[in-house]
Amino acid sequence: MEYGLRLATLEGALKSPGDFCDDELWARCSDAPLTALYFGSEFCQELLPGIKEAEAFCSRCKEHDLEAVLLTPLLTHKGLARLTRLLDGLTSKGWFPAVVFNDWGALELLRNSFPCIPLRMGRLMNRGLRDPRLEMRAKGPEGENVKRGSGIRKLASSLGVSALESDADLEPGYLGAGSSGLQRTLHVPFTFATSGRNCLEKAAATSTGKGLFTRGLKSGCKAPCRGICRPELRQDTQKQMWRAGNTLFFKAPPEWIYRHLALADRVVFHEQAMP
Amino acid sequence: MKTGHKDRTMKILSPLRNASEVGPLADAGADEFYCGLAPPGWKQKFGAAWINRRHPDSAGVLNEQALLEIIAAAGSLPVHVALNSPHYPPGAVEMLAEFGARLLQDRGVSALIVADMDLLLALIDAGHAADLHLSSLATVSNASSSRFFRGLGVSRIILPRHLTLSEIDQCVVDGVGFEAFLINDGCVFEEGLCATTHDAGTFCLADGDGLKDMPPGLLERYAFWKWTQNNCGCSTSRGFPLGPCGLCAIPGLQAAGVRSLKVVGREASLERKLASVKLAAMARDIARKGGRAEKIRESTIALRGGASLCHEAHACYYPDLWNSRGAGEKRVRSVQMRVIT
Repeated sequence: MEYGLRLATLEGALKSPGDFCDDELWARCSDAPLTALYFGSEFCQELLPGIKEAEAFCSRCKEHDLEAVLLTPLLTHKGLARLTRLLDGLTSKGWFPAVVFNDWGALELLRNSFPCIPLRMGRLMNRGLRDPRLEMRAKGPEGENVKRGSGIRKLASSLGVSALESDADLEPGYLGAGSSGLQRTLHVPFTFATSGRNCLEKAAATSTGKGLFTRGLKSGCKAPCRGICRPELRQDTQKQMWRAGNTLFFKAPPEWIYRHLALADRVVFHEQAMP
Repeated sequence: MKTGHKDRTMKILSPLRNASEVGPLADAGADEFYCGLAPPGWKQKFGAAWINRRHPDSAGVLNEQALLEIIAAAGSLPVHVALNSPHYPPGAVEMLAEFGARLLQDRGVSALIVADMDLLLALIDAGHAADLHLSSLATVSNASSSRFFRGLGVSRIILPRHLTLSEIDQCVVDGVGFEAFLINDGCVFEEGLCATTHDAGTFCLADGDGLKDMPPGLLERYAFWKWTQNNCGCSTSRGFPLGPCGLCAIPGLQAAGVRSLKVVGREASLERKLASVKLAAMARDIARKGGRAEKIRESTIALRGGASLCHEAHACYYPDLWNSRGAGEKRVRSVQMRVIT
């Protein structure tokens, strides 16, 4: 077992993973080293860092002898070009962070143009159900469906991917039994419920009549959501929701997390819900 | 020029549920069909789990015999079957891979629409790659991703809803077909990245209701927009749907290399399906004769009604066409020029 951190800001203070979860979860986590720091964005290409920011982050990781891991989202042509520029800039200066891809096109880019970069398959590739209105109905720990995801794990291994990542979903098993040779990584405590391009935060920062919803798809975004995480209550679930950028999150219930912990080789603790 | 642009035929893909719908929909202009179907024994084994993105009882074909009747009635028109749930319960992928193979080999189904990677890879391993349409839930959003799935051998990529025309233009590559959404049934979120299920109620319709500290009026506008995505909860007095629409983008989609236009709504009444296909066929025929977006838009309003939906771009699938007056037309013309030359 090993641990990673996803800090709320690139400059945030390094803390113990135990500071980012409740005592009960931390008590279930074995004594293990912190090995990685995560940055970037899994949900919005507008939140990818600039080269200078990324370089500073990689430098900080090196200073603390930690692996730098760049999170990347689903990408349009524009986003892919942005990622290419970012990686060109980093690799030309000798930085080779591991990259979490959540887009098959990003994987193609990485394999073809940046073969030295370690590849990690992101949590959006796991399309399992995470509906906050539902309770877990799958069998107990002895019966996790580790066959789920076997095809995608085999494909990932064959393409040179080194790790598989997920958050806690309703049917543990996607991370597998560990036989695929992929490092299995679990993100806690926030699970995403849904995400999209018609972003309320973007609309909130836009003058009336422009950039709203349908008509906003084409307009640019200056990422006004950075650092914002809004609590949100719904009538149809008791779970506390968090809106961060274009994505809705909730804290996965303890049972969801504990069931996944048994299948994880690395656990990444998030300081807050972040897109 | 992308070689795929040489064949400029645009097909209208219509939903259906039974054989009696085939004739009227084909007469209205449908060129191909898609439907949902559960394998025998599915309910006994997997209960209420969905096989595709619609409830099997309200949107699916009754059984295999009913599917055979659809295929017989369709004659030379292709019939595709959707097996595109993004996730399946334990054991379901194996059952669906076997079922899908049988539909292709023995039942005359033209293609399977698939989203789940395990199911997709199982069908590819079984030698059916060329008969697979990649569901929009797979969220192909760039050319590199298109090339990845082309490399796996799928014959068609269905593009997700929330791409602009110019992004679609960037997604299209040679050697694989492309389908795009044309009319009806929007999604508030990116469908492929929505980890909730409509089986527990439509999660997105209540989205934002509990938010505080947002600018005045924003949540009201959001609620209005969500209502348009849900087809405004009604139809026009002439019986046409009032939901998301990309009819006037057909020339742009054609120029980009999209060759199949999806009419959404398997669960809808035949009347609604017919009205949708009629609108689609009218727009496609105008585009065929060289008509541009403005002409299609005017004709759509004349036939359908609901002018404000168009004038205010409330429910455009491809709103970049109208982001600034004349800009969309200018862009479409420039793409057409590129194709012609």
